[in-house]
Amino acid sequence: MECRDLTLTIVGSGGDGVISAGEIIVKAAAAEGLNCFLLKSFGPQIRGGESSCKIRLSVEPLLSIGEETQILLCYSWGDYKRFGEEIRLAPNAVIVSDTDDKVGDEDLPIEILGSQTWIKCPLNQLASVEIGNALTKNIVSLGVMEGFFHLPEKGIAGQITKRFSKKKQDLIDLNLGAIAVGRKWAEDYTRDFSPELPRFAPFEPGEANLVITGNEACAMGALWSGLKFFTGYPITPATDIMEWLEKRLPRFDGTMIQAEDEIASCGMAIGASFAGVKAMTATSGPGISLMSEMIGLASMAEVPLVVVNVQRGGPSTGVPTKTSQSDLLQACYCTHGDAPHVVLAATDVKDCAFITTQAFYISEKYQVPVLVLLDQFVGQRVESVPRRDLLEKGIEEGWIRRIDRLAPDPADLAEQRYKRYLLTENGVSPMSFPGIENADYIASGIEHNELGFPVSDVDVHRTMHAKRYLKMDFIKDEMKFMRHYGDEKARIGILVWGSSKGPARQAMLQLEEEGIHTRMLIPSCLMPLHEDTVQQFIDSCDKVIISDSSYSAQFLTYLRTQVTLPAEKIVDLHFVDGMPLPVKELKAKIKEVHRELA
Amino acid sequence: MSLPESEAPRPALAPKDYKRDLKPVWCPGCGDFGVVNALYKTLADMGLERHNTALVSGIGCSSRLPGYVAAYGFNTLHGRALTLATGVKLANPKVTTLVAGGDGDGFAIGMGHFPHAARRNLDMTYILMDNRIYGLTKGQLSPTSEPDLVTKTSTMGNIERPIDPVSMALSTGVTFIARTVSTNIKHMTEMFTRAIKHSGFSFVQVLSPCVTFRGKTQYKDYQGDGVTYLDQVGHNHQDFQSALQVANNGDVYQLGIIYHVHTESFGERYARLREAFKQDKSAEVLDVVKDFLP
Repeated sequence: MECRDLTLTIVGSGGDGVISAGEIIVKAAAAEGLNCFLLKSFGPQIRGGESSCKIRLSVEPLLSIGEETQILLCYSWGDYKRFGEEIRLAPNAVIVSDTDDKVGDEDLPIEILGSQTWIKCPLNQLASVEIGNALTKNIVSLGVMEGFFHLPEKGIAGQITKRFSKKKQDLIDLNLGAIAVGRKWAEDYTRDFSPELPRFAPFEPGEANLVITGNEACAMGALWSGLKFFTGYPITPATDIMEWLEKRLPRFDGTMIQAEDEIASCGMAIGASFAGVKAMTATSGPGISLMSEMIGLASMAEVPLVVVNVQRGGPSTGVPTKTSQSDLLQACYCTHGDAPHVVLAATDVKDCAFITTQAFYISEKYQVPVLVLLDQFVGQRVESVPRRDLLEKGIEEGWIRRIDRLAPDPADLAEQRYKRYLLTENGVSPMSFPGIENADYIASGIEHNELGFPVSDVDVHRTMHAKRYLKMDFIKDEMKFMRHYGDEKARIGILVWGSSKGPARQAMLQLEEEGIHTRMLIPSCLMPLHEDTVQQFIDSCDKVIISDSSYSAQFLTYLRTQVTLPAEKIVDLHFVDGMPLPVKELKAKIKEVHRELA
Repeated sequence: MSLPESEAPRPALAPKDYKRDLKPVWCPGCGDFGVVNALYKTLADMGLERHNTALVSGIGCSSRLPGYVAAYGFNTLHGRALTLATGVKLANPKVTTLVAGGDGDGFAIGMGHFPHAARRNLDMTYILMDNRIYGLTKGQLSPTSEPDLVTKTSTMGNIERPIDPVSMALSTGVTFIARTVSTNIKHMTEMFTRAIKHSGFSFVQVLSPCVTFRGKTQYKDYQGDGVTYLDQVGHNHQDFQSALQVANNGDVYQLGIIYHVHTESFGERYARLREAFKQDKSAEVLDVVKDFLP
């Protein structure tokens, strides 16, 4: 059976090289122009715990990681068990497991169906006996995958060579040998037993795609926007952003400093921005909790600031290695007092770069803190992206913009009449920074007048509140971009946000083939929300499914504060965080709604 | 980032030129008046440019200080001044960065940041205006309050041991440590000047009395036999052990430079490593995209 779209899951313990094997497959495929996804999942252990990665390869552009897995490569059933429901096997899945597995056939964590194919392969023996190095087990298994499923053969060998290029030739030869041994075993098995296997159809190799994670794309967007100062505190799943920028910012005369905690990192970023450079910090939920007082300060002192939150399961420590959309309400309401700020959300890996450039644009133009919401699902997954799609195309076409903050008028400086918090038509005042003469001022979290002098007068407080909130009206129009998908005449509407886009889109397209039409609206700017667009969408649908990955339906709660949601129209479909939006459940709900309307 | 550079030589500024047209909220007799006056004098003596000077503070009576100085200022959050100052200095290294604040701000709520600013040896000066009481909130215990002190939150007497900021500074690796008193403008000015000239993290503890909540006792304690000047007793401020003895010296406040050594600051070291790292690397952002090619 030939296919042009394949889903593969690898499971084992950390020491098995699960992630390296997955990365090699994805890079090999991307190098030949295929489209791919790779999603990692870990247990809580620091090293050696269970790990899995799910890969999807396709000739066509991909929207999601796919639901059921067609091929399972299982190094250890013991580890498989710990992932429980996370791994869903297709009814006709092919399962390749190690003959040496300690778990007996009668103790398998799953029931293998008659329609599924189970191949036991002596992975460990081939590695330790034939190659003489048990550590090559994962590489042997790549050879097996190649032999069975026709994964890009040249690409895999190429990636092995590249991966070990800085090591000795012996090591390269050893691993290439491991590939060959695995492939030969699979070919012999196929000849002897002729199993029914999905095989990747021959394809015309195209230009290599980038292989990039959402966190990296976010960092890349920041770099392009002119980031000069990054600071962070290690926290899963956001640390990749700091690690990536640490290696690149120095090339651009930038600075990266690891702070002592998230209060400090946010403080440093605000200090750097006050001093005249574009600054960013990145964290996950618990870090935002610590930063919230600082975000209020940046709002009050009108200092541009970009804060990225790669969401994970909460509250408190929660489930740090799993995805979530449950920091939406925190993002919108994290500060005390009335503190205008902006919340943007990225929908896929490429969008992480785009949204981050938008965050800088808004933050610098309007001198407000901007929170960028990613999540573990989009931040840590690997996606193939056509090279020019990451930034170049957007820059050329003008929808990715870079801006510098409004500088003081030289005439005002010469006349010594500069006012840092000057009341203006759009609320934006010229911002000086240390180094500019005749423009020194005092920034503060305390209420202040146009000069920045501390004032506790209620009239001034009201006037300055109005000034700061005025900016939000302009941002709302600036950031009106809403993403519309599907059939604009459809009676069923879907409202989701952030990384739910991929799975939701997948569900829509699959139902389209069954003749069920839907339309979807995704607001990229959640605060300030362009209510009119959302209201029009709701008003023009007969039913609207509102979905997110949070236990308490935070998106629905938030929308209630922004628009009118007629009870008879609204279908609430929220999922406990930890997993991306499940396509299957969403499809089932859409079908149910479709039947009701019929 | 490019700054407009004026070519004409600037006229020398007098201390009053650093005074901002804003009336301090401090009580009459507050030690902080002395501190700000010494600071005006220091800035004038050193010829520091208003536009190339930044004062960062947290919250408290003393943290109001940046508002009264004509330079760039940032009155931030309670306890967090050092973090913002770190960002200012690293982002804009030409700027002389000063941090001012009280004992509660720096050694209670903000204590977590102090050791890190110290071990990084950032090139900035931290002036602690220590009155050993919470003034802005009207008279509660401070982390530097003496044992048995009766305050609004210790009516039976303080049962906690106070922190000694100088010992703390020594143990966390501060490279310039001095102690001075707000009644001696000349000495304060000298200590501030030496601290600002020091390349690295400098810490100056100013004994700054609070007349409102500590009465006249502090002024009495800081007079006559209550204080000695280290330059009159032959203290070797390059010797760590001698510095420790000064810090722990019971009832008498020893004033002057307590410890002073030189090590490369974070900023200097980072800039040096960055230059070496940059060699032969493209600084074109879109070139970085190539890093993601498989």
